[in-house]
Amino acid sequence: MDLSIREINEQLKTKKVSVKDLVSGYQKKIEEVDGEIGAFLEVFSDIDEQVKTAQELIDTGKAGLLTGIPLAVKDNILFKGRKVSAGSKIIKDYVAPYDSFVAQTLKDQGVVILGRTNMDEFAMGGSTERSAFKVTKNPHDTSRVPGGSSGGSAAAVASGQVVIALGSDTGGSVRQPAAFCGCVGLKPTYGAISRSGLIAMGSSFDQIGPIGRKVSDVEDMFYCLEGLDPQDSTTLSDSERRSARKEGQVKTIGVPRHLIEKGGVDKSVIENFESSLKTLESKGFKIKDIELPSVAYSLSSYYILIPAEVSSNMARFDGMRFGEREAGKDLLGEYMASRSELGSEVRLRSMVGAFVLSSGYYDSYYNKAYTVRRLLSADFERVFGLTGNKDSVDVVATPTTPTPAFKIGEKINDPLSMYMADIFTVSANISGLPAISIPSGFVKEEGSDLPLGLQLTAPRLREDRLFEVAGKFLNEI
Amino acid sequence: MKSYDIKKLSELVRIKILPEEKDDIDRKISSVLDYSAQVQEISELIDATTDQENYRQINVMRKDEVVSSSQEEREMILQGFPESNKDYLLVKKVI
Repeated sequence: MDLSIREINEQLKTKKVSVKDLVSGYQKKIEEVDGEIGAFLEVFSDIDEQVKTAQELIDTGKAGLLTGIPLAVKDNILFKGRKVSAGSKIIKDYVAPYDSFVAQTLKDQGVVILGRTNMDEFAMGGSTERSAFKVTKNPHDTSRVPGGSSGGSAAAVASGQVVIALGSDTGGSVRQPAAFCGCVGLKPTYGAISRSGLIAMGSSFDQIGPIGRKVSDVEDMFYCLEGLDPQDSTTLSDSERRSARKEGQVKTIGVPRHLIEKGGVDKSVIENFESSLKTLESKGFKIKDIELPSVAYSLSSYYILIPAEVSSNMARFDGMRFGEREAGKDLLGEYMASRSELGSEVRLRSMVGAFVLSSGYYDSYYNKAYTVRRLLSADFERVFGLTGNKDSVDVVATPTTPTPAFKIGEKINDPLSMYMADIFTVSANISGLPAISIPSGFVKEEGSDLPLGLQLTAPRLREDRLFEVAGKFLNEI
Repeated sequence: MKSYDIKKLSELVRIKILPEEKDDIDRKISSVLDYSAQVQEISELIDATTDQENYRQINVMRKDEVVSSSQEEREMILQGFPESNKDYLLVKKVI
């Protein structure tokens, strides 16, 4: 059960195992453990066709690396003919009329999709407790959250129910649950993977990203999914990819200590982080202090820019185009009645978004937050040496989260303390840079061993640097 | 903590807030906006190196071409829509 995609691929190609046997092993695991974990919103019962297609690709020598691999996808990625509800009651029975770009790519590869995973409603949340359907539990301690919003995907991978899963990351929604569940999670460069067919939360932040047990699995999935898509005009071209990815090994890793020592970070997290830095040094990397002054404002700007985009993206769920239309005494009454099924976090962010965009407040909130976005990008460009700075670093390291997984119910009524869990992850989304979370060991809390994550951030389109450092850190390469 | 005009905001986003929910949502909006107001301190960080021209934005254009859907897709779209009549999608009158 602990094999990498490359090893499974070898076994499938040499006929040591059939797709059917491989898949039924994972289906059995789902039956055994998901009653308690609750990672899946729906386990597909009709996968025979997918299994058959995969086996045929293998038998005819047309198999790719991902052919036959059992995986799960977050409930906000469209697969034609399948339900997709984004963890929300308002579209609970919506059936996707088309394939997302990633769905089409995975189908072409002949993967086997076992089901769709639980998430915070419309990806708003950091614990998966905001799902309209159920609470997912952390496989390392079932009294704790798996993180979120891609908590179902991370929990499914961590409990061995699938080889790899897809999530989406707007402010840490792939990396934070990966850290809480002891997995590897990648948030690619903005524009690396098409968002066509991903239900939008913050369109200028959202990226689909893989969550797996091994760096090489996440790497293989990423290179399979990236590419230009005419349906998403923000996707980057092959020539941009080629010119960004020049040869050269990672030598120096930058650490913004001023951010980590600012307070609000658990002592155990800091200790774990320091020991991760020692491991990196032992692998031959040079550690260097860096300054990212505007990072101090990243979380406050994120929780202005995101609600602004949310209030616009959520406007489409008004009972006119999706879901159920509820009767009301006039048009406004009908909108309000139809939207009454939206959960509390969606309501909160929509209203905050309306406020920061409203006349009289736009300049002091939205415009300031947008300025922070520019400053933060400039800060990263400077530390990465893209402005001609000689004193540069190749990647930046921080902890992924300020604490290990918290208890179910602990933060549910305090939005701000929930948002604080994103303190290290939002910067990559604000600046569009790629970032990865990798398991960095465990901390003991109330008798449980809880995983922690190390986050690495690289310049635009330099996912290759992340895989290099992560692979060395985890002794994969 | 400042108090916000919940009624106006709820109308802007077309979300009904029940009287018993008002205090809780007001508390949450206030805590988020009080925190986010930190961004107003940033003017001290701005210098010439980060001015507008460093921020690259490009337009991505494509031809506006009509691509027809298959009968199967039409049916799926119709089925996912709250109200329809034959091949027409029905929405409420807005003017």
